[in-house]
Amino acid sequence: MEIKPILSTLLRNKTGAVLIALQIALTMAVVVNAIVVIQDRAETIAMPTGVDVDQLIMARAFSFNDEQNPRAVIENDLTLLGELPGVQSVTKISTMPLSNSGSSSTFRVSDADNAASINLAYYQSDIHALGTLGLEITRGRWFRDDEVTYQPDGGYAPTLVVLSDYAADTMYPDEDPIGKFMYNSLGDAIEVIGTYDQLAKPWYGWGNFYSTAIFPIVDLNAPLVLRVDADQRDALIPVIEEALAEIDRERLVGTTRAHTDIVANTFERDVAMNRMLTVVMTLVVIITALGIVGLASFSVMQRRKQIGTRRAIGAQRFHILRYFLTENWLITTFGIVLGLGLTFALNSLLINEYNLPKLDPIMLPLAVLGLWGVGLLATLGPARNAAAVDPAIATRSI
Amino acid sequence: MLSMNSITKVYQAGVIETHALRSLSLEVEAGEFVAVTGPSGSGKTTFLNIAGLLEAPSSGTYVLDGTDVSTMRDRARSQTRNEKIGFIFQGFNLIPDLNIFDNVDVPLRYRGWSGKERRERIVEALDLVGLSARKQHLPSQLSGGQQQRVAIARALAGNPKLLLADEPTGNLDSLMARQVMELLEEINSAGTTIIMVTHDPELARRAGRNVHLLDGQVSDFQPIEPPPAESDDAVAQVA
Amino acid sequence: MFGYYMRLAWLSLKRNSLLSSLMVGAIALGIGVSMTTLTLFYVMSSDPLPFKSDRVFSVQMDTWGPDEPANQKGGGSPPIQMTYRDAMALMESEIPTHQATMMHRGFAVRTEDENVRLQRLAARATYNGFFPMFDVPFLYGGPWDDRADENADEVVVLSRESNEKFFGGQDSVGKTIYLDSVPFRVVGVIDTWQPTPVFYDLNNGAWSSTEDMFVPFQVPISWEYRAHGSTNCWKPEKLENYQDSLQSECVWVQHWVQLDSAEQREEFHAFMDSYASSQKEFGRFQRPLDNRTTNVVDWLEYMEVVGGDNRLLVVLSFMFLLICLLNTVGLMLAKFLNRAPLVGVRRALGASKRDVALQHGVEVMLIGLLGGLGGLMLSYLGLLAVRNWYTGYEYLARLNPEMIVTAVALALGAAVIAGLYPTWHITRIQPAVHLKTQ
Repeated sequence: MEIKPILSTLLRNKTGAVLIALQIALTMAVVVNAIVVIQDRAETIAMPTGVDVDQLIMARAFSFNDEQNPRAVIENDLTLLGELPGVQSVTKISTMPLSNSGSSSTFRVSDADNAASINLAYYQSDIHALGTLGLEITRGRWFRDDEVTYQPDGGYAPTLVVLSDYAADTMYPDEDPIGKFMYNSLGDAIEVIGTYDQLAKPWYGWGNFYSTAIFPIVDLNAPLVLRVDADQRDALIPVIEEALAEIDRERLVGTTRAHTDIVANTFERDVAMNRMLTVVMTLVVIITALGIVGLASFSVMQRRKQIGTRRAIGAQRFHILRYFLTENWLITTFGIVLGLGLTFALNSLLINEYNLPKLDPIMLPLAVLGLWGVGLLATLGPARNAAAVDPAIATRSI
Repeated sequence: MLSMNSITKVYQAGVIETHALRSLSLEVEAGEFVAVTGPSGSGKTTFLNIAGLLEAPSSGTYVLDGTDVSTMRDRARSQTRNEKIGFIFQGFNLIPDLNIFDNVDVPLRYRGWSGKERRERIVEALDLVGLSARKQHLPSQLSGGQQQRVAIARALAGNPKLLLADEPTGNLDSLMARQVMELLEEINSAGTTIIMVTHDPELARRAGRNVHLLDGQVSDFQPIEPPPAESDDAVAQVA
Repeated sequence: MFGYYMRLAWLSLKRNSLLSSLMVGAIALGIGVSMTTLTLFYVMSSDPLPFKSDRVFSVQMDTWGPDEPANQKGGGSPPIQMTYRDAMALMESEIPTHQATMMHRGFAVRTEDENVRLQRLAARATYNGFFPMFDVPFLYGGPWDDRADENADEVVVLSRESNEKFFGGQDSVGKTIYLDSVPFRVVGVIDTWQPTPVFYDLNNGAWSSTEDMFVPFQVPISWEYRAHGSTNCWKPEKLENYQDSLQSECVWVQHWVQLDSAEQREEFHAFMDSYASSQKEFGRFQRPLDNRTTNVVDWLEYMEVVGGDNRLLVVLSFMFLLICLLNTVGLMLAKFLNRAPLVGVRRALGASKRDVALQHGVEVMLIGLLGGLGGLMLSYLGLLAVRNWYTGYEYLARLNPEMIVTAVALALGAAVIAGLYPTWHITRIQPAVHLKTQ
């Protein structure tokens, strides 16, 4: 290849090449770090919640009257909603994964003074939650109907709990958690009767995402969660709202929403951030590519005579094409070398300032290939123009 | 060496056709030194472009070194230019960003020779024009005559059978012009066929044969005396 | 002469329209992207209570447990909300010009019109000091009186929007509206009021809208309602009933005060400290005394309202602008150098270096101006997209006059910086060189 003469030509026309190389370097730093953020967010957004998100609807009815028999009101709701066509099952549960509202508390794993403690986000539900959410019991058992407490008093503490596998394994590593007792901050003993596979917390962040527990407690004004046929879900939402209003006109029916909407709302900022970053990233690449097209066109225009001479001397079109592509490849590579440093510098700055994850080194060869590709594509047009220069231009005396 | 038969070249600009060459026929034997003269617009440059395979004729046949080149595709034409033809331009057309050595190297690059072969040939060619000491210099650091000698070295580097010179002394003062002319004569006497386009009758007279173009046609042949024998001394001076 | 240069610049832009539109486009994109993120950042970090934000303070008292601080901000600081009992103790003080304890709560609302369906609306339960302290503008009526605060009277101040919803926008003072089936008398209607961010309670999102109505703080308390927001507790306490939770160490109310002078603030701090010290005798306030008042702007900073995401976007978009600038430098250089022979002719005809510099400077400015206008349009589109992507950014993502001026200035500045080197380069052209090679 003709790298040496191309290099010496480049060194005599530094400005344009340096400008392109700097653009490539900055582009690399911006794009690679944007991808790091995007990947990080995308992973967060894609975290499984443990429930069958697509089939679930969350509805709410608030009662302001002092109900004499809250359990009867709840049973009535469950029965009537359960009869709606397309509804598979209904449960009364305190909150849902990623709904951004819920409670957590610290529990000790035994009554010993120096016992380890764990923060658990807890759900309170009736027996239908297991099937409705699509959870599986992995050890022990789920609670029975007669173990559920309806509308307890303020000071009530549960006596039974079903833990997530994550929580159970953290609290009782290498031990059978079934039959163990955990203790709330007041020292009330709560018996672990079973474990389920996976259920995410109602919020993201603040400790492990799967550190959860379910207590057999039902509140009158807790949400209703319905498991429905996925294809009828959207059509069912207004039907459910109407049905709830129909049951008791004195109650206030809250907004009924598909669980996917609730999750989307929780991650809205992350999704929007990813969109903005994607836009910025795409524009950066386009701008840099256009810059390369511009400067390459200019350099072809300026060297028409020289190209004609080369052609007259016997260069084939292919040689001219190769010359310009090689020249750009050298500039791009120089930019990439600069860009490597800049990328790491920006990454470490972002790690310190914004808790950005460290960049995965596998990204770098991909970025290099990508930038080479962009450079070559952008030069292809001007290089083809160069190859099309008429060799007869050499004999014209301009 | 070169045989043109009824070559015409028509440039089309919109509906207007310009006939640059009209049915031009010309034979050049191997080893000849032919000067092509004629006033501005007589078709000198077009003739040179066609002879040098820079342009294809609109009609007619052109046989170069036993091969019909009039219907060749671009790739074959480029190769033929590279292997059989050497160009010397009025404006030198050296590549300003490359040093002398790299400039002479340009045609050899397209031949796919090894680095060693190319180096040897470049030094040889620069020796021939007496500039091997300045191979690291840039064109802008040389005088016009020296630049044209580099251009000649570049043209000769590939051992062409045919050397095409377009007003080779047009941008040079008379002393430098004479030196360049003497160099060309030397090359010719070594066996290379030369066709030189010029408007200078003085220069044309030194060629072995004169072809006068008028309005795209050969107007008359003027065989003239071979150049005076004193040229040998002149080459010695240049070196 | 300026007009002549302007015409030359325009002709030059037209002559090489591809290169020109690339340059204008590059500046426009750079400005568009950075103005979009900058506008978001600027609005987010702007003062929601101009003119008096330095006199209005959020109050923190360190009632937290002895083992660890309530939060890790600034190497450990008091909880960001207050306990009910301490907030009530502060309300007894006469020192602040205005003060208000507050919480957020939803109610089911209807009017006497039976046909209107029950609606769930957001309310702020607070004291009447809220309105003058935060400069809340009234359309009709005014705040409730001190007696209503003391007696937990069923009175309500409506937002302009809910007044339109329930009373068709008429003066509804004296009318009745039902909150959770209890009749309330309307005492005032406020005009449109939307501080961004909603600094006084960041629990439900800093960019959410202000509440639909306002009621005396003691009303939901007397109904034994809990706040909608976050409640944080550190102490293991048996909370048998509502009274227990009111007396607990859990923090769940916000408390704001207006202190107009440094002396007043000192006095208030002395009051808080002496109260906290007296509480130590009952085994409370186990941590070292740390009672704080933080003004609005510092509070937003402390609460990290402008997220890291926004800073990151600003950083990245300015890098983007830099790339666009480098791009423009390259293209301008190409364009100007392409014209070098013509400049040689001009120089030969008597143009001084200064004339050449001016001619090209004007062209650079024209490119910057066009780029700035393009950038404004792009940032308008960008903000439109942002409003679409985030709920609750309706009040935020808007161009204002300051930002428009900033955009144009930024574009001109960018163009001048980008044009400096090419312009300098072209003034160095020796006229002779280019004339000869012609």
